[in-house]
Amino acid sequence: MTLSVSPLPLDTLCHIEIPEGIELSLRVAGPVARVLAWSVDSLIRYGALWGLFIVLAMLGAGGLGLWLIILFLAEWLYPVLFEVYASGATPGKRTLGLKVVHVNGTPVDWPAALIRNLLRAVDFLPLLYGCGLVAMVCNRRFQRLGDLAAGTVVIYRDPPAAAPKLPPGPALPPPFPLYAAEQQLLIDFAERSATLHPERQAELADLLACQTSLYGVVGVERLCAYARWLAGEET
Amino acid sequence: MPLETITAELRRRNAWEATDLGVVMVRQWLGPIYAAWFAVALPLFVLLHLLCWENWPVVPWLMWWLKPLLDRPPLYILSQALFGDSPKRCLFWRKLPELLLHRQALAALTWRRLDSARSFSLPVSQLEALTGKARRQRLRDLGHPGRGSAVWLTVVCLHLEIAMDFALIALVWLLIPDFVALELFDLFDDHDAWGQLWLNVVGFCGLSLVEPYYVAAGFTLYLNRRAWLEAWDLELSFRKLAARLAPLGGVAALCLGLALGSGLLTVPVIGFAAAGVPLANTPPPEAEAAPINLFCVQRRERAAELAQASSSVKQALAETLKEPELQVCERQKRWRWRDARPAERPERSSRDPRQAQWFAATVEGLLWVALGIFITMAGGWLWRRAPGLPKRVRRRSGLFPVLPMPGHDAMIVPPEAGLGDTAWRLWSDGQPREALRLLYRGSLAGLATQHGLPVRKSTTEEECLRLAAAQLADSDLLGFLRRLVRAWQAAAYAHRLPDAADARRLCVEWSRHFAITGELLT
Repeated sequence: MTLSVSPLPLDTLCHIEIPEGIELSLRVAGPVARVLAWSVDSLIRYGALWGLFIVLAMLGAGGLGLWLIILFLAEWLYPVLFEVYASGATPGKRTLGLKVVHVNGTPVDWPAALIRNLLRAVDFLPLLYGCGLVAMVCNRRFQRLGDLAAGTVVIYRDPPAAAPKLPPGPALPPPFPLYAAEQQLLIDFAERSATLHPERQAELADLLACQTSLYGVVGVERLCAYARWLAGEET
Repeated sequence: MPLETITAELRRRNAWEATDLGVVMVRQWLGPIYAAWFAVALPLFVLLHLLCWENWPVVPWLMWWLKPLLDRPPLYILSQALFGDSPKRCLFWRKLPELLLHRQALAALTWRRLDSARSFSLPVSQLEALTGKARRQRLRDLGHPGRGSAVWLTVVCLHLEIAMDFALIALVWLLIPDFVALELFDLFDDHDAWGQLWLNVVGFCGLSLVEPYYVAAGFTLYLNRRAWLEAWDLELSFRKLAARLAPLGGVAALCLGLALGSGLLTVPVIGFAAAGVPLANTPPPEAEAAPINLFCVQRRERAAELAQASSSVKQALAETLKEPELQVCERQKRWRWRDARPAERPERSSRDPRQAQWFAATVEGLLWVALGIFITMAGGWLWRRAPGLPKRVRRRSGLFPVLPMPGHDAMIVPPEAGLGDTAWRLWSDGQPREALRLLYRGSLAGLATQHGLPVRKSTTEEECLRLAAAQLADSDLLGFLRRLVRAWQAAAYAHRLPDAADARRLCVEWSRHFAITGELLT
């Protein structure tokens, strides 16, 4: 039983390079979130259709005919319309924090939305999305067959960026030069220190004790002071 | 748990992203995980059929009931693989009885069987091996936002399993040829034994398709919660940062050592060495060994003292202190600022002062020369840059002899007086483009040499016109230039030629504007 070890740590990100030469990573969404989103959508759609049926059935055959037309449109166009006009997300996807984009990260357009939703019929085969689920699990970007044909992926919406909330205290410039990622690291530490156990905070700060020359609670406080300085607070 | 060897990216994920990581993990280690799954599940499936002979409808329910045990081998493989170990086959088999029979197997099958977040709590019982109150507390600590997603995961996987069962039945039905004349619902027929066996096999396939993913997704949910709560990502990044800054660490330690005073210096130095700071450890020469080992001497004295003590504990302690690991004494050499200076000063003053003065004088002279060169260059630069110097403009117009002719690096010389006639001759010979080109070049040459227009190699036709409009007062000449440039552009770029009368007029006018002065200049 030998295990293949991938050179990169395992992750669900999908990396794309935009023409400006900047690499972006999309957080592609896998089966569980998408199944739940589909369930929410189904509840909404069939609930609405059922209500409509009660109303239209009272109108006799004409009403029933109208309902069948609406059923057809709702079945095929409900996801398309929401994906094109509601920034890539049906209500179910919005609930789960998902949205559909092209593989290159651009918003989904009419052709792609149509293809991926018309090919639901293929994904549904042999029954209850059997093909879709297997394709999604096998695919690196969790694409079902419709997604593969349309060149789309379902990704997690990024939450809006907020300014860091740091615990109050003095600010100090760090005595060593830091790269941008490392500055962000210190700010993250200060921001998250409230959610960490004090002993764990001290343990983490001790990893940098050789640089700060401070151990324990004092080290934590010092790292937070650096973070406040990096976040732009005045000394 | 060595975090450095973890093979999955540690970052803060939301719960759904964490379950996706589980899918990726199964994809990565598909072979070992499914081997471990089938190693237990398949024999169990066969065994249950043999045990419940004639009662096969019970088998799917029994399989469902035994799921908590079936989950354990894949989780074992996952936990090993996550930290980069490839588990040996024999080790797996040796571990298997413990996995299946101990670790609260009974509880898992009875009162915890209906735990709605089963795959999330499995790592706590199996990997952390917590029981009773400790386990409950641990699950409460981990559970707060994570448990809801774990319950949803169970719900989703249960439905997916049923959906997969239906899909498999439908797949078989789709692949059966028409002449068999089988209805889809015939496939659900469980009245005879073979029909029931077929349904059991389908159920087993559906279970096998979904269950390893369910285990992995629950495991990654658990990992994600721990990574959040214990800030694993921060720990890894801090370790990297500390490794990068390690060379600076020596300085920090030195500062600390100085702050503590020389008497205590040895103690913090040893402390930092233990903390893993890479410092230059040079083996001390024998001569230097004596004074440093104050610490070692103290320890040896203490050991001797202990050895003489009557208490058996103290003697055992003395024995331990004699171990070779505890005999290591190191000397660490490092730079120091203040204290070293007074010692060096007399040495410096003992050097020959005349030699130093000579050196200083040379350097000073070189510096003066450099300053002189700098001032000269700066002056020259300013002189050239100074605005409105007529000398410079005239030189410039002569200095840029190259004209913006497509494909020609021609010169600027004052134009020949007979250029107008030459052009007309060319026109008459059927080379109208050449003729206009000659006129245009001649005009530019004339403008550059006679009117001092700063025409450069890169100047376009429009720029020439703009320059001329800005600098020439003669509106007649300007009008001529404009017509000539338009004619040349039309001929050169659009292949539209002026008629012969216009061409003739241009040639004549050229001679009127440029030829005379040209003659005077030449």
